[in-house]
Amino acid sequence: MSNDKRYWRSLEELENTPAFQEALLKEFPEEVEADAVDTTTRRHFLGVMGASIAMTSLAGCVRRPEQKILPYTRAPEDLIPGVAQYYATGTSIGGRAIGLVVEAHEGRPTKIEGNPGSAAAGVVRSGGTTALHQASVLNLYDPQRLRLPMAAGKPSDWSAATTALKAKAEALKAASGAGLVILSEALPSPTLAKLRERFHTAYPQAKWFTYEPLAEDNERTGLKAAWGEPVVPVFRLAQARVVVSLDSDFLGTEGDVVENAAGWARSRKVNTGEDRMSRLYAIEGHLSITGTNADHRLRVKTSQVEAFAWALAAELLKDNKVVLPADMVPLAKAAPGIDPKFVAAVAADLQGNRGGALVIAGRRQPPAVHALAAAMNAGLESHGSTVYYYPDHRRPATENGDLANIKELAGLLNGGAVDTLVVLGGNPAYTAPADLGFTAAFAKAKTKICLCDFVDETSKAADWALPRAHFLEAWGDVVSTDGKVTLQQPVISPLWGGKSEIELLALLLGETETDGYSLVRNYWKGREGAVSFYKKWRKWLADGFRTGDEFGVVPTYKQPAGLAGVTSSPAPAGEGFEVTFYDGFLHDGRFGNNAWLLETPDIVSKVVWDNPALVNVKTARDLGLADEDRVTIEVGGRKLETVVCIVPGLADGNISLQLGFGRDFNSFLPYHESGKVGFDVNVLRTVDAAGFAAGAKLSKTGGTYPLAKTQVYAKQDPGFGYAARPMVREATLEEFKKNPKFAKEGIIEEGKPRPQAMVVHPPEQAIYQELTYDGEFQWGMAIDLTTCTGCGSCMVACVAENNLSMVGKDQVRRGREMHWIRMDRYFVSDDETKPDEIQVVHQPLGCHHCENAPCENVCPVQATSHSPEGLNDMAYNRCIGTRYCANNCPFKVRRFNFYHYSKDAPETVHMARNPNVTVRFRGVIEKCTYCVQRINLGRQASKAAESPQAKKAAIDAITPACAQACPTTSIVFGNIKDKETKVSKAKAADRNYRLLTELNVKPRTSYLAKVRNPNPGLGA
Amino acid sequence: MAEARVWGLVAEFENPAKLLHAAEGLRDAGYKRYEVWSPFPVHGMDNAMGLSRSKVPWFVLGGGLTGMTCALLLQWWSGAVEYPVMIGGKPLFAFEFATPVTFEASVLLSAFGAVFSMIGLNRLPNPYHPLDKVAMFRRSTDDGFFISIETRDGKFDLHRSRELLESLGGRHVTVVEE
Amino acid sequence: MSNANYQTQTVFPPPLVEGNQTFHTITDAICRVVEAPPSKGWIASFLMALLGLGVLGVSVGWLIWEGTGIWGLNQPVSWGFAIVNFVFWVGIGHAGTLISAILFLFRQKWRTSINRFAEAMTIFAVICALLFPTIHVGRVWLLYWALPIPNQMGMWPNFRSPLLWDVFAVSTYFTVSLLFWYVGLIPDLATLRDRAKSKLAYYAYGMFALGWRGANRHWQNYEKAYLILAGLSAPLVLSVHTIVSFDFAVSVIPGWHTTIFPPYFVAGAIFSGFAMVLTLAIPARKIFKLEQFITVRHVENMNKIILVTGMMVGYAYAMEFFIAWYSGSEYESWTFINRAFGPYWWAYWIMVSCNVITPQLFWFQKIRQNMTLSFILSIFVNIGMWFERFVITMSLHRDYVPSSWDYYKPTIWDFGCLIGSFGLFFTLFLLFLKFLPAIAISEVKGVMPQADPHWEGYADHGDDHGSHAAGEKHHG
Repeated sequence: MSNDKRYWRSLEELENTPAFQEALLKEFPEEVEADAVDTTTRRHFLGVMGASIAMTSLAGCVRRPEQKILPYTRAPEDLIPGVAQYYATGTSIGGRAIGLVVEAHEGRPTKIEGNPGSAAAGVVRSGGTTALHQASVLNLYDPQRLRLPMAAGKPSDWSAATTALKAKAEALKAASGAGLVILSEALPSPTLAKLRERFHTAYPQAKWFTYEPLAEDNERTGLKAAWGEPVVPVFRLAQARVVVSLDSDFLGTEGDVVENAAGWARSRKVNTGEDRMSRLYAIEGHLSITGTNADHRLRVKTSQVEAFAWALAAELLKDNKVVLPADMVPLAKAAPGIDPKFVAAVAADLQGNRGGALVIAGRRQPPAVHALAAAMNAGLESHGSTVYYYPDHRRPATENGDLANIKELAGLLNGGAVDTLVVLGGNPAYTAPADLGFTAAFAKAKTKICLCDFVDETSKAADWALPRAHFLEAWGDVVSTDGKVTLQQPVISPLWGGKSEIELLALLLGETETDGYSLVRNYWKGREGAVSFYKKWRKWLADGFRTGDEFGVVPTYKQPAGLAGVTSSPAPAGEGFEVTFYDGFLHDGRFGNNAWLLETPDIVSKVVWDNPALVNVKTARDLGLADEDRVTIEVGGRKLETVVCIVPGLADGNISLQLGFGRDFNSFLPYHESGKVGFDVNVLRTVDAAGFAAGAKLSKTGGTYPLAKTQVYAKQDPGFGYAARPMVREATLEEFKKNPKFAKEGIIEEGKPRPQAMVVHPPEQAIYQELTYDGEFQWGMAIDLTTCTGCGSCMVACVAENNLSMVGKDQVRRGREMHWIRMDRYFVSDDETKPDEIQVVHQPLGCHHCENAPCENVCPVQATSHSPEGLNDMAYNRCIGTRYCANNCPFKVRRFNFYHYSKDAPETVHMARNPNVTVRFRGVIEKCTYCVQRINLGRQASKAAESPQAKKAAIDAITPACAQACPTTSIVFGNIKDKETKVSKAKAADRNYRLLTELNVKPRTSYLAKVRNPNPGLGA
Repeated sequence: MAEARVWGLVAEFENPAKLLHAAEGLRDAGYKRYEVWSPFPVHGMDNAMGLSRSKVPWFVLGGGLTGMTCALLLQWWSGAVEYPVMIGGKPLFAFEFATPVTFEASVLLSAFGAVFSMIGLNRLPNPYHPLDKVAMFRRSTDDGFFISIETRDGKFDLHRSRELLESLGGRHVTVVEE
Repeated sequence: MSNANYQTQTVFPPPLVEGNQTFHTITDAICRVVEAPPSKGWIASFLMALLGLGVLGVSVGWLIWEGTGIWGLNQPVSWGFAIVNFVFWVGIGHAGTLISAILFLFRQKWRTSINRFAEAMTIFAVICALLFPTIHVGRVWLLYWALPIPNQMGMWPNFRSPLLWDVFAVSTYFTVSLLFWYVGLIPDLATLRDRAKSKLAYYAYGMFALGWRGANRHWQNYEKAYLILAGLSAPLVLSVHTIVSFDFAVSVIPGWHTTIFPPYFVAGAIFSGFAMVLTLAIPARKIFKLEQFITVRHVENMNKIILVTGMMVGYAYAMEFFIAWYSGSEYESWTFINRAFGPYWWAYWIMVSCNVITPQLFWFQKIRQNMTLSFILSIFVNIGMWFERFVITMSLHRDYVPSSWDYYKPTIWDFGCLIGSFGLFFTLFLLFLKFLPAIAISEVKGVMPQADPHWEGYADHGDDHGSHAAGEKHHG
C-alpha cells in the first residue's frame, strides 16, 4: 500500500482534537465494568461497548457517525476492487522468524499463510504456520491497541513525542549514553542489529538487554558450554528415524515449530508397509503437543528429566558405542525412579539408528541437559544429518541470556543506575520473574519510554507510551534460525500511526532517515552493494525472502567440549509436587487479548478462556480434587490462587501452569464479562525456576470456578461396557504391515475388531434411486491422523478465513462454540485401572460433506442442499433456524448463531473479515463449506487459464484454509474425480477410512488411520 | 305497512315421538314444503319426511380429490420442475416423501368440503326467518318440537292444513306471516 | 344419521345423565354457567391464568428480541424444551379429537358430556403446540418460508423434511379440529342466542349461530357433515402424531430413528390427552356443578382408557429396548442404556414411574371411581408424558461421535415458556368455559332416553320394541 494513505473516519479524528483523543483512549465508560458483571446485562454491555467504539469516532454524539468513504481518485496500482492481493512478508514470534504470505482485501490484511519458499535449503516447510501466526492478523485490529502516544498517562501526539525524544537523545549523547538502557525483545532483524551497532557507537556507555519471557537461557548456556559459543540447533526431522524429546515440545511450542512439525511428519508418512517411519520418545512431566504424538512417553516429573538424560547417557556409554566428553562421563549413571528397561530400549534404538537419531532437550531443562543432548547427538553421528547448529541471529554472541539480562536490568534499576529506559516492545512488568519485583524497579528509572501495543502492565507507568506498529504495518527484515532472510513488507499503513522498533531506534539515534522503508532498504543496499540492487530488491519483495546464501555463518560442527562451567544436579526423585510452566496459544501473554486464540481449545485440556492448573488423575485422587475446584498453589512462599483441571497423562505430582493469562487490562473480548482472563501464573515464576519449580504445595481453597471446555467426553469408549467407537482407528506399524487394511475393517486395536454393524452399511437396496453427482469436479478431503499433531493451526486458519465468530467463555460453557473444524481429542488407555497411562489421539473434524447428507433432507426450506460437485452447501439467507439439520448431523459439525455474535464483535475487528465469505447473522446455521470461496476462485483461475495444464494446475492448487495452514500437510483436498490428485491418492490408500459408514451417509471427508511406531522391545 | 302475506303454519308437538308421527302424516298426505324443527336431530326423521340422501358426501369427495391432486402436483412441480435442488442424495420427486403432505391436504380440503357444503346446502348464514316472529318458536333450540307448512306447498290450505296438524297432535297451531 | 335401529346392547349400565332431567333443565343447567356472572373461583383462576400468559409474553418477547440463545440449547442439543413442549401439547390435543371423533364413530354415547370440553382442549392445546415450533426457530419473522407460497426468490419448501410435514399436519389438524368444534357448537350457539337477555349476546351468538333454527333438512346435512368430519378426524388424529413422530423417526439419530414411533406416539398422545381431560374435567364438574353430566361413569371410562394406553406406552418402552438390542446396532442399544442409566436417568425413571407404574392403580375400581385419586394420577400422567418427550429429545445429547457429547441445562426462560404455555392454555380454556357451553347441549339431549322417538314414555306411539325400565337401558 502507498504510504501516504491514511484511514480516518471523522473530521475529529483528522483534526485530532483533544476531546477526540480522550475518547480514543477511553474504550470503556466506567459504568460498564460494574454492569458487565451481571450476566443479564451482557447485551447491554455489548451495546455500550459498540456505542463506545462509535463514540470514539464522533465524541459526544449519540448516533452512529456517518461513514465517509473516499473513492479511489488515484487508484493504487494493480488493485482491482474485489480481488484479493497477496503480499510476501515475514515476522518473528519469540525470536523465531518465518516467511509469510498475506492476503489483503482492498488494503485490509485478512489472512496469513506460510511462505513455503522462505525455508532454508534442506529444511522442510509447507505453507503451514502455527495458530499464533494465523491469529496475529487479529492483533492488528485489536480495538484496544494504543492509538496515540501517551505522555505520563495523558494523550499526546507524535510530534510532541518526537521532540521530547530528540531532546532526551541529545542530553544522553552528551553523557555518552550513561544511564541509557534499552530493553528489546529477541528480534532477529539484521537492520536492527546494524542499528544496534550504531547505537553502541553513539552511546558508548549505554546498555542493551534482550529479553524474551519464554527464555532460552538454558539452551544458550548449555550449548555455549558444549560449543564454546552460543549456537542454536536446527533440526532436520525429515531425516530422523528415532527422536528422543527430553521435555521438549518441539512440535508444539518450542523452537522452529513449523519446520519441526513438517519434517517430523515427512518422516512418518507411511502409505505402505514398506515405508520407513520414525519413532518418537517423549520424556516429560507436562503433557505437551509433542508428548501427545509420542510413540512412547515416559511420565516423570520435569525435574527428573535430567536424571533420565544421564541414565540414557550411561546406557549409551556402555560398550563405548557413543563417545561423550570426559567431564560428562562420571555424571552419566542410572537414577532411582527411572525405569531402566525404558532407558535401555531407548538407548538401543538410538544406537541402532546412528545418523538418524536425535535427542532434543527442552527449554525448561537445565543447561547440562542441553549440553548432554548435544554431546549425545554428536556421539550418535547426528550432526550434519538430523541436527545443525547455527549462530544466534537474535542477539550478539557476547550478550547474556534472557533471564540473566532481565535480572541484571532489575539490578541496575534498583541501584538507581538507569536514567532512561527504553522498552522496545515487550511487557516486562507482566512477564519478568516474580522475584525481580520488576514493576517496582521499573518505577525507579527517571525516564521510561515504552514502545508498546497496549497501555499494559509496563507502559501504564511509562513517561512515554508509544504505539508500536504491527508487523503488517511496518517495514523490517527477519532472519530465521537457519539463516534465511525474509523481508517484512507492510500491507497496510499504521492504523494508529504506530512506529516499529527500528524506526524508534533511528529516531533515538537522530538518523536523518527514520522511516522503516529507508532503514531496511539502505541496510541491504549497503550490504549487497548498489550494483543491480533494485532488481534484487524487487525480487526479494516479490518472493518474500532473500535469495542466495544463508545469512551469517554456515552451520558448524565441532566435537562438544563438555560441561565447561555448567553444573548438573538432578533433583532427587521425590513424592512432593512441582509446578511446570508451559506456554500455549497466548505465548508469553502477548496474544492475551486475541479472541481467536483464547477460544481455541487447549490441546489436551480443551479448556478455553482460562488456564487452569492441570493435574493428573492420580494427583487429583490423592488430594481429593475435582475439576473446577479452586486451589492455592504455593511455591517458595509465593502463592497463586487458581482452579484445577484434571488431565490424565501428566506425571504424578506435576502441576502444569500455562503462561500468558491473567493479563491485567480490560479485555474487548466478546461475551466476556470480566476484565481478566485466567490467572497470572507468573507470580510463581522466579529467575531460578522459570521453567519448573519443585517444592510446590497444593491445597483446596474451597469453592469452585467455572471452566469452559469444548469437549467434555474424552474417550471413544462410550461406557456401559460397550465397544469403543471406531472414530479414530489406529494400529502399530507392525500391525499395519500385517494387515494394511485394518482401518477399513474398523479395527482400532489389534485383536478387538469392532462390531461389523459399526463399519459397514447393510447391503439392502435404498428404496430410492440415489442421486448421482455429475459435476465437472468432485471435491473431497483426506486427513492423515498419523501426522496430525493436533496443533490447532487449522482451527484458527478457519476462523480467519471464514469470519467465524468468537463467542466467549460463557457461550462455550453452554456448548455453543462456533468452530467449523474442531480438534477432537481422545485418550486411549489399555488399563482402566491406570488412568494416567494414556495415549492421545487428535482428530480434526469439520463438515464431512456427506453425499447422502442427513442434514439436507430435514431442512424445511431447502436452506442446505448439495452442489453437483458434491459440496454440502448452506444458504444462510434462506435459513430460518429450525436447527433440525444440526440435530440430524451425525458428526455434530453444524453451528448455530444463538445470538447475533458477528454483530457484537468490535468495529475494528470487522476489518479482519474476509469479504468473500458471508458474515452470518443471528438465528442461522453455519458450517464448513470446504472453503467454497477458494474453490470458486480456483475455478475462475482455471477458466481463465489457457493451456490444459494450467487449467488443471489451477484446480489442483485449490486449498482450503485448514489444509493450507497445516504445518504437516496432514489435510489434503482436491478433485477426487481426477485419480492423479493428492487427495485421490490418499483416498486410494490402504489406511483410508470413512466415519460412520454404517449410516450410508457417504462422507466426502475421509481419514487416513493413525499408525504408531512403538518399540517392539517395550511391548505395545 | 302493507298487509302481511301468510308464510305458512306452525304447530308445536309434545315430544319427538309425536313429531316423528306427524312428519309421517304430512309425508303421507303428500306435503312437500313442510319442515320439522327440533333442538336435536330426531332419529328416523329423514325417512319420516321422505328426504333424499344428503349431498354433502359428494362435496367431500370433490374436496378430497382436489386436495390430493393439488398436493401431488405442487410437490412434483415445485421440486422436480420449477426449482430442482439436490437434497440428501434423494430423488427430486418420490411418492414416499410426498405421502404425508398429500394426505393432509386431502383431509383438509375434504373437511372444507364437508363444512362449507353443509353451510351452503343449508343456505346458511340466514339471519332472518318468518318463524322468528312466533314467540314459542324460540324453544326450537331448547325443548320445543315444531312442524311448519309453507303456503308455497301445492297442497297447502290454511284450514285443512291446520286441521291436519291438529289431528296429528299439533298444538298452538299458529299462522305465520311473512 | 340414518334411522337404522341400534340394537346393540348397552355396555354401561349407569345413566349418561343423572337426575330427573328434562330437555329444558338440561338447557338451563348448561347455559346457566355461561349466563351467570363470573364466579369468584372463575375470576381467581382467570387471573392466575393471565399471570401465566404474562410470563409467556415476557418469555417470548425476550426470546424474539434477544435470540434463541436465552434458552439452554447448545451443540449437540439443538432442540430442547420448545420441541418437548410442542410434542407434549400436540399429544394433549389428541384426546379431544379422539373422544369426539372416534368415540362418535364407535357410537360411544357417553362421549357427549365431555366432547365439547375435549375438543376445546384440543384446540387450545394445538394453539400452545403451534406456538413452540414458531418461536423456536432462529428467525421467527421468516417462518412463512416454510409454506409453499409463490415468492420473488422462486424458492419452494423442501417436501422431504418432516418439519414441513409437520407444518401441514398440525395446521390441518388445527383447522379441522376448529371446524369440527365449531360445527358442533352451531346448534348450541343458537340455543344461547335464543336465550340471550342482552342485545350484545344476542347478536354475538347470533352471528356465530349462522341462523340455525333446528330445521330437520339442516340437521340432515349437519349430521352428515359431522359424521364425515368425525370420519376425517379419526385418521387425522392418528396421522398427526404419526407425523410428529417422524420429526424424530426420520432422522438418523440413535434413539430417534425407529419405526415404533408412530404407534407409540399415538398411544402416548391418547394417554396424555385423556389424562389432561380428566385434569380439567374433575375440577370443572365440581366448580360448575356439572356432576350430573360428567358423571363418575365418564371418569371411570376415561381411567380405563388411561390404563390401557398406559400399558401400550409401557409396552412401547419395553419394545424400544428389545429392538435396540435385537437390531444389533451398537449405537442404538447404547443409547437406550444411556437413557436409563446415563446423565438423564432421572428423567427416564420419572417417565416410567408416572406413565407405566402409577396408572396400574386403575386396575382397582375404587381408585377409578375416586375423583381425588383420579385427579392426582392424571397429573402424574401429564408429568410423565412431558418427560417422555424430554427423554426422547435428549437422545441428542449423546449420539454417534463421543467428542461432541454434551449436557443440556434449561434456563429460566425455558421454564418461562413452559409455564407460560399453561397460562395461555388456561386463559383460553377459562374464556371458553365462560362464554361457550362447556357441554354439547343438543347432543346431550339427543342421548336422553326421551329423545328417542321409541322411548316407552311415548308408549302411545305403539312401537314394536316393548318397554324397558326407564333409566336402565338405552338404545344406542
